[in-house]
Amino acid sequence: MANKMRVLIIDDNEDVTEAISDYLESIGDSCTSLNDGKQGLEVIKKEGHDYDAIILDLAMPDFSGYDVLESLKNEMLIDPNNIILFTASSIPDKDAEAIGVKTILRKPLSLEELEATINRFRH
Amino acid sequence: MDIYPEIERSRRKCAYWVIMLSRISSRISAKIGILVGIQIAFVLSNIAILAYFESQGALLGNSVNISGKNRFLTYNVLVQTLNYLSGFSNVSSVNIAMSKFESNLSVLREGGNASPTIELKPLPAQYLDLWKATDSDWQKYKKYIIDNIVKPSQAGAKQSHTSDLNLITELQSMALSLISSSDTLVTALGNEVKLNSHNLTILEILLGILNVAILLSILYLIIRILGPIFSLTKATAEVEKGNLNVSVNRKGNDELAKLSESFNSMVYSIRDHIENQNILTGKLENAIEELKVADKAKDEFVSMISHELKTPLVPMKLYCQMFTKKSLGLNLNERQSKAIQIIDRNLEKLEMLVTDILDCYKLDMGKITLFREDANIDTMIRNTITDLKSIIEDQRIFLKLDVRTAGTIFCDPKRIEQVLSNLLKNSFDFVPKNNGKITIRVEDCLDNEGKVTSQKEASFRFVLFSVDDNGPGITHAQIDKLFKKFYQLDTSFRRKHGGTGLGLSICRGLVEAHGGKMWYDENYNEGASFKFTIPRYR
Repeated sequence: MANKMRVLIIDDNEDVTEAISDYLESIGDSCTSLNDGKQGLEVIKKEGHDYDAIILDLAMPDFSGYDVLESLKNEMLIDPNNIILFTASSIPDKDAEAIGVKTILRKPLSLEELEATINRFRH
Repeated sequence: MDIYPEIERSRRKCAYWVIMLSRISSRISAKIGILVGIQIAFVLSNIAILAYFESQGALLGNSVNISGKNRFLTYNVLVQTLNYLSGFSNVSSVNIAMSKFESNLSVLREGGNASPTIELKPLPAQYLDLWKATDSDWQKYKKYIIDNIVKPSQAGAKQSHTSDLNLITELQSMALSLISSSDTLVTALGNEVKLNSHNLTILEILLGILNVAILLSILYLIIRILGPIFSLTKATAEVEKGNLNVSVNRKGNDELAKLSESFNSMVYSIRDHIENQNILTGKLENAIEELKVADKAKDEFVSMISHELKTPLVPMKLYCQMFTKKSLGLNLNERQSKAIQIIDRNLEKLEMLVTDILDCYKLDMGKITLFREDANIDTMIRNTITDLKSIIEDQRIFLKLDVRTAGTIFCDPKRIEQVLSNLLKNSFDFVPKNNGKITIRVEDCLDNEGKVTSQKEASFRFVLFSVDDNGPGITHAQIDKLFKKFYQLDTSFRRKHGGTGLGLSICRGLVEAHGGKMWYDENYNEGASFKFTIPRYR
């Protein structure tokens, strides 16, 4: 088993963050859950580099994943390599390319998909 | 119908003239024509009148001239008489002188040619008395001469000197009174001439004034014509600049007035038209805005529906799988495992159903987004087959690939794979067990109908996909409903295999969204054959 990963998940749906968190911890990784976009932005700004992977839900009320990415871009803080976009929509391929984010997880997802994607960030 | 036909007749005449008048007043050309006609007639009659009066004056002047000659001719008689008395001439010269006077006096009264160049009119009646007075003095004079000179000379007597003196004195006084009465006549005639020319002058002045009046009315008419023309020109220039708030004064009822009226109503109707256009444009702009808003609402709704339907599936699926993988540290017994499997299976069905319904909805709304790229044909085929490998192996289906073209297609590869996969899965359900044969053919074709030729053509714009199987095929009656939503070949099928009956409808929608066409090939007799075309290039 590889190193323990530190994952950050930002999704307004608590059931989703709980499920993913439960799974990751069950395989020995640590997962921090946040259910608010603004809060997520602050954490990314302060501790983004501490995480191996950040799963960012795009469709959140009040402050969406798009808003988070926009703010990060404006402040030149974005590191597209450890951000994973998480979405039910089929659209963001182009949006992702525009920002440079290469990884997208689509809802609903299977454990295999989750694991395979996360493993790419494991070193 | 009038009882009195005279009244009816005169009424008709009145009406006729009223119509004529209104016709004239409504025609500028008529007005000008009438005035110019009057002017010409006037000038011509001026000339005629003046010529007449001139000639009359000339004739009168001749009378004055001839009557003035009386004086000379009177003296002539006296001189000839004196000459005869002095013995210088014959008595015949006296007679000649007397006949000259006589003929002068008579022609003065009668009129006619006093000489080749002088023509006289007869003496006007009011001078006859003066002429008679002159004539009676002449007769006295003539008688005296004839009695005292001509007759005696014819008798041969010789005059004495003393009677000569009396004779001469008497002759002189007679001559003087003759001259005086003749002069009276001359003066009277002369006054007539003066009056005549005076009248002529007045007449000329009057005619001149009338002439000027007519000219002025013509001028007025011209101004009346030019006026509206200038107004129209100005108004037209305004309209040209874009100002439509113009109108022209409409005076009278002739052609120019009608033109002004037409101009006004034309400008008005243009204005009206432009206003209507603006209103229409406004309405169109509003409609476009509303459509944009509605479209955006549609986008948001589609997005929202997708999100809402898919979100609950996420934790359900994850936890289900975690139970199966024992990630939550639970060791499930057989019944519990089975329960979890049922949940898992149904979640999968639900997921497929949600995906299908969302696809259907997006296709219906025209909101399907295709992520087109230059997708390699072989790769797409391979991806499709790879996902279905297990079923192919399980059912021992013989899958033949007949790929007659290569290269890329500008399309959304995930969607094309989805279509192929759907067709293959349909075939899996209908081919005979352990003996199923499915052929996937890919070839170039010319158009949307799948026309292929054996020669190499430079411009194959489409790619034709065929999925043929050796199942029972589709009957003619069923073909119509094949691509309709929720249609399945038999309802027991649905209960056995699941599926929503949306597959073919979605496939056709996806193909058509690419600009292609999908159909069932009735000409294929060995089973079912589904075909679709996709445009190869951008």
